[in-house]
Amino acid sequence: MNLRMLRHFLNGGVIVVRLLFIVLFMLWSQGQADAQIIIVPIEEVKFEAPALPPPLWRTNLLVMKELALPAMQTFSEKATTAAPKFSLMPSTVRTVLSYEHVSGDFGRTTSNEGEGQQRKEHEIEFDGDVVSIYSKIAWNTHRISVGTMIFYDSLGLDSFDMHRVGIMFFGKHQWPISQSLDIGLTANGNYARNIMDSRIDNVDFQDFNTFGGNISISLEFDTQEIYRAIAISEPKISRLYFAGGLSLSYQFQKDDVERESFIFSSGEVVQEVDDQHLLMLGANFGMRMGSRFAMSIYGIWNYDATEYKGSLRDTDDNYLDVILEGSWSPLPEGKVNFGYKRILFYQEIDSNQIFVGISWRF
Amino acid sequence: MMNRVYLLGVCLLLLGVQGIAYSSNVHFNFAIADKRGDTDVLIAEFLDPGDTGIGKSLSYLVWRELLTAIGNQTGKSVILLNPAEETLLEELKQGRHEAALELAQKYRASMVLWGDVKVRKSSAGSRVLVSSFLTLNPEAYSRDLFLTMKVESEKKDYQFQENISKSRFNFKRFDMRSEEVFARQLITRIPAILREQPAAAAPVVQRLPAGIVLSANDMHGTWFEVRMPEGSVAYIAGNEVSVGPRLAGQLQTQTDGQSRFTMPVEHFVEGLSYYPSRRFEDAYRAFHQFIHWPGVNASNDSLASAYRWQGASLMFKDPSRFDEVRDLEAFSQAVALSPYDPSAYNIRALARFGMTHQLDGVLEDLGKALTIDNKNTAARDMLFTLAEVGKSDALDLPDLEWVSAVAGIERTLRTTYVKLPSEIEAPTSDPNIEGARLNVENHTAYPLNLNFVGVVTRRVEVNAGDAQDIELVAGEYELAVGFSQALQGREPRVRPMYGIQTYKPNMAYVLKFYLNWQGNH
Repeated sequence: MNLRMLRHFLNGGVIVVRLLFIVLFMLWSQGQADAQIIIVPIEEVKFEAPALPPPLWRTNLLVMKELALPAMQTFSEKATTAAPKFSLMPSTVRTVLSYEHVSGDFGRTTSNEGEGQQRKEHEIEFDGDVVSIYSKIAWNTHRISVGTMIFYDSLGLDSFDMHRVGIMFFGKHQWPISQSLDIGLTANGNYARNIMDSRIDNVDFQDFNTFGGNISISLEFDTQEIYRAIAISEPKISRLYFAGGLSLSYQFQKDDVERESFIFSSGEVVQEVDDQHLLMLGANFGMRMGSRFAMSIYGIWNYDATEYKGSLRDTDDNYLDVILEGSWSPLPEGKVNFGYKRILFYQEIDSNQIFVGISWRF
Repeated sequence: MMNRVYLLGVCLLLLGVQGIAYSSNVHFNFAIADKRGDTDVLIAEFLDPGDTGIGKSLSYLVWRELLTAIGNQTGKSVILLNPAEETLLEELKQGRHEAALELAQKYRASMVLWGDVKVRKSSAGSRVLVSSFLTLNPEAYSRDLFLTMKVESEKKDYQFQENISKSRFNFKRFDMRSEEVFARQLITRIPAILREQPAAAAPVVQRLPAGIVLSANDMHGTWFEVRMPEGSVAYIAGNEVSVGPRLAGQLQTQTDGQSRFTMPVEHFVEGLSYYPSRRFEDAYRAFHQFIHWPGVNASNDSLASAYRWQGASLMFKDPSRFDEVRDLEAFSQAVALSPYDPSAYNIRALARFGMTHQLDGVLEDLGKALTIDNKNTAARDMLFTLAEVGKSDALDLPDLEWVSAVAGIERTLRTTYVKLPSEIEAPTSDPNIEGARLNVENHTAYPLNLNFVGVVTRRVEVNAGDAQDIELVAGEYELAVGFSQALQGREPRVRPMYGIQTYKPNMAYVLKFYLNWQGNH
């Protein structure tokens, strides 16, 4: 590869753009072919009352993408990132806004049609839009990062409207094991308030609170120090251009309501479980292009290990989040992220999301 | 207006505060250590391999003289080492300054004076040959050994300094007629006793009140031999008299009307004692006496050091009346005595710039220092600072290639740089090339600066995408390669390259430069 081609490549030239379109098209096509998926299963449906959406809806992504897996840094960003000393001033602030379109149904509930009337079964329709925003503030030292995230989701779906607001506290410790590899241990605790309004006749959904925690271990690779320098050798693609990680995560979630589900086919009333157990295996891989751009791809496999007894007992228990993300550092302190996410291999629900975020380092 | 501000700075300086001068938004300050009053001079024995007895007496005499000279300064003392208690004296016999420094540290002294004595007899009479050595304790002298200038600007502060002198002196052998060594006037400082023999138990000849002037003509141990009016001799204990410098006319060698101590080195010590006390007038006078000791046998180095101390004393003595020609004369004398010493040029440049804030003559001196030693730290520090300050309107720094090249090297050395290999691969031989030729290819998108400091000093700019031949005298060069800072903007800073390369005669080298991302794998 001669220098001219290399410059094209590094500056986001034709080859990379084409590759990106191909990948996006494949993801889109896959989504059109098999409508499915969704969100982490969850929770129970209370007899005569609520069927709730997965409480992990948002927090699983926050955990893997924002905390456990390493964020892809542009050359410019990484070269100007000094190992910070702890101070009361936050090291980084980041806000992400996303829009998600969801279609499909997920679980069933029944309505009370009145005295003497047989209960009526309804699929819980998930067609609609979700708008989310979250902000992350972190205090970083050389190997330790602590911080908090606040998040808000507005779900406008066919079967219900929902507003979720929550907070998460996290901490991460990294141990370098070589010039290019780190092991990371991440833990967090989170709380969310969920306010639901039913759009199904004769069905009421109950507001509830969720509490949860998570622990993740990750293996991250990136060159520890990157700098731009005058050199006497031609530039070449090397490990400097790539970064990524692999993470395994366990998340526990619990809500504060007791639910019962009416099994329409058998006429049984069952007590729904209160706890949820989710395993996630995520990986990301990114490439720096030019000084200020980077692209990365995330794959996060989610498995809900919860034994649901009620209306969610037949739903799919695993799916894959795929995310394509671009990063642009117009300033050494500031970075803009943008991307696309969709859910794959989930039978019930289809989801496409776009997001944009801004980060600032102090 | 400038004079008033400057005068204020001088006043502050004399009060032990940093002197302040002002130019635009840049302040030039002579950094001067706080006034010190704890100078202790340690007199080790003047070794006497011929066992003439003169060594012990001379040690005692020098001790008494220095007590008179500097003992009037608060908190200062002069200690005479008891040879019986000190094993390090054996090492002093080898002329080892390290041993003297150990003694200085052990006794917390600022300096140690020692020497040796020999007697040479001839038909013309006997002569005493005295070698003297002086070791300063750098810890005690701290910043006083340097002339230091701080430069405070809005963006950054700088500092550069040069040694006023080294800390170890070997004075050339001093030669006196035997009868002149101890001949002097004494004054009884307490009620004293003249005895028949130099011993405390000897019969009393006469009892004297304090304040009586006596003429001594010899010493025995710590006893002075005094000639009585009737022609006989008596002895008086050294601790009962004040021993001052000999008065004008008392010695054959004294022809300038100045009173002097037994040896010139004592005036040197006296000056070094006054200087940290900010008694610059006294220090100036003491160094003047050393320098103008008739027929002083100081080595060029010692004399040059004395001139430098004298110059510094004069500069601070009355800065408001600083006269560039008159007051730099001492530094010029030091240059004349040691033209091979880069620090002589540096100290004159520093003094000149510090007092005038003008570059006339300053760059010339720094250039000479670097011609002698192109790695001279002090000269390079000062040039770098002047170049940095010269970016503002505070200094009208002329655009000189060698100044830019040296500043470019220093700027690179003060950053994190990538090391250039010492060898350039695959040079080609070409007998038509007189020296060495470098073909430099700039494959970056920015103009590249190459700074060479070595056999010659060059600064070459190669435009983006260009190639250029650079002819150099063959030899070893420091080479710094970088972009001008103006190109950096908000980009991550580009690390320059620096290295030492040797270019052989009749050889052509190719150097290609790229802009790369690098890291530690």
